[in-house]
Amino acid sequence: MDARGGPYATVHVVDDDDGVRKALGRMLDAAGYRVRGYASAGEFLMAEKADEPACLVLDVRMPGPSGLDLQSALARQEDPLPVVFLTGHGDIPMTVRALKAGAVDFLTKPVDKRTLLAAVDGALAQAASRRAERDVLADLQARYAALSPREREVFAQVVTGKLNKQIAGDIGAAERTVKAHRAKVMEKMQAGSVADLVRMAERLGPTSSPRERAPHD
Amino acid sequence: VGFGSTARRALLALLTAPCLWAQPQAPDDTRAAEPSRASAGPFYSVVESQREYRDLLVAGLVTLVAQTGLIVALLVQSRRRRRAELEAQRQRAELAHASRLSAVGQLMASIAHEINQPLGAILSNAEAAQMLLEADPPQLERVRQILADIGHEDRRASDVIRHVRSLVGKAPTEMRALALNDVALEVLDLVGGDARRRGIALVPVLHPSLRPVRGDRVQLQQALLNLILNGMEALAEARDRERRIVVRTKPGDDAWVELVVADTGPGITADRLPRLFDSFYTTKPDGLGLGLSIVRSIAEAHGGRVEAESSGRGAVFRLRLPALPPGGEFKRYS
Repeated sequence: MDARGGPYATVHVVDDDDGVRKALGRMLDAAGYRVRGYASAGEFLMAEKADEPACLVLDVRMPGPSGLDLQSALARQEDPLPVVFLTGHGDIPMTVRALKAGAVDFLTKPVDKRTLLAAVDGALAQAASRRAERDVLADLQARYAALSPREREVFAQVVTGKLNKQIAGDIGAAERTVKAHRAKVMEKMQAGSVADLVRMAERLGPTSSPRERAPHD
Repeated sequence: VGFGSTARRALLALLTAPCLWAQPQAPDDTRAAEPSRASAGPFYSVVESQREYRDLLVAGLVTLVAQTGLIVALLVQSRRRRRAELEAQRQRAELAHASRLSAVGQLMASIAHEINQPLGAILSNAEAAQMLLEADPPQLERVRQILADIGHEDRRASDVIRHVRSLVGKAPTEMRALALNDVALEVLDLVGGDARRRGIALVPVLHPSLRPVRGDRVQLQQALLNLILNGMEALAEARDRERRIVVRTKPGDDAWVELVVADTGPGITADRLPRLFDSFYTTKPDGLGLGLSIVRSIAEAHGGRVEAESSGRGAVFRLRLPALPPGGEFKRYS
């Protein structure tokens, strides 16, 4: 596997112009990506998509919903694909809007191979790191789900920095019992230290700690 | 010239008959002298016949001069009128050309886009072909397909340029049999990108067996272009409604064919309708008021007419043109 996600990386090309879509598809295909083409934003949204590292090469100007519309529709999804925009003539407000909404790149047609492949690689790298992050989170959630209710209680207290004695007082249990729960939590969560456990709690969000998750939009 | 020489000959005849001028009598005197005619004797009759000859000659000459003058005046007038007509025609053509230039100017961004698309396709195709040739083994069959597509994309780009050039150029009027549908499709090609950029659906509804018309292709394209641009401007202010322009060709009554451009804009108020096609009548802050007046003059030059109607659901412009008889001199120009 190389930086661009190897032979399993898929590039979705959305462009209403048949000639352009076909040519871009050929070029990306020859460069070693798996390519899927769509003639409109709607066609892309309706299509069945495999769970794999992928990115989107998107024409800004299309009949019906535009590329920008598709981008904002995707942004509402849980796991948005990184987007590389292509445009015939990019005006500044359009570019700003696209980049603010998280576009990886905004390229002007006609786009040469080097520029496009660099942008696609960047987008796929982003997709890969998002996927890795997502996998880590899913793993953590699975571990957390394996905790008993009592262990979760102890977990929530430990990450606020309380000592065993204080926790014992708070939840009304013997200090020895708390110590045993704590060891179990460390083991089940595969945490090497309390610091590790705190980082995990941060990742897991409000389910595991009394603290509110910061809004991230 | 023929007249001038006749007049000169008559004048010469007059000058070489000095005896006539020896009699200083006016024609009125003839009547006054009449009672003494009988007693005047044989000598008098010679004088009398000379007088009659002179009267005849003078009358002829006067008629001749009057006719010459009249004819010369008529010739001068008709020549002046023709020159004025030619001048007016030239000015109309200049104006139409200027308006075409400005229309094409408005479309410049989307024309650039229309050319950029095939150029982009050519570039990506060429890069793909290069990679396929470098592959081991080289994938020649796929390269062959790519080369065919490159040719196709190239023609696409040059078609756009040809359309633009025919609108921008100053070709003399050329009346020939035309398929109105082809005229419409070329214009739709040209404005399609612009409409898309403005979020306007441009819907062609072209009648499949339309009779041809006799006309100048560029002028008819311009008429349609102006009507569509007019519709797009009407829709520019309409944010809260459907944004659509239908371009329809259909057979009209009798020997007419119709080109209808209907938009879903706010429509035209009744007080504006009568003046709509007047020159320099505009409701837009930066409009010249020429677009629709040029449509009308093009319609009239083609023996047709243009009219507008408006309802709550937008404005409809109807350009009627006389159809050529079936099986006439029709020839597809593409």
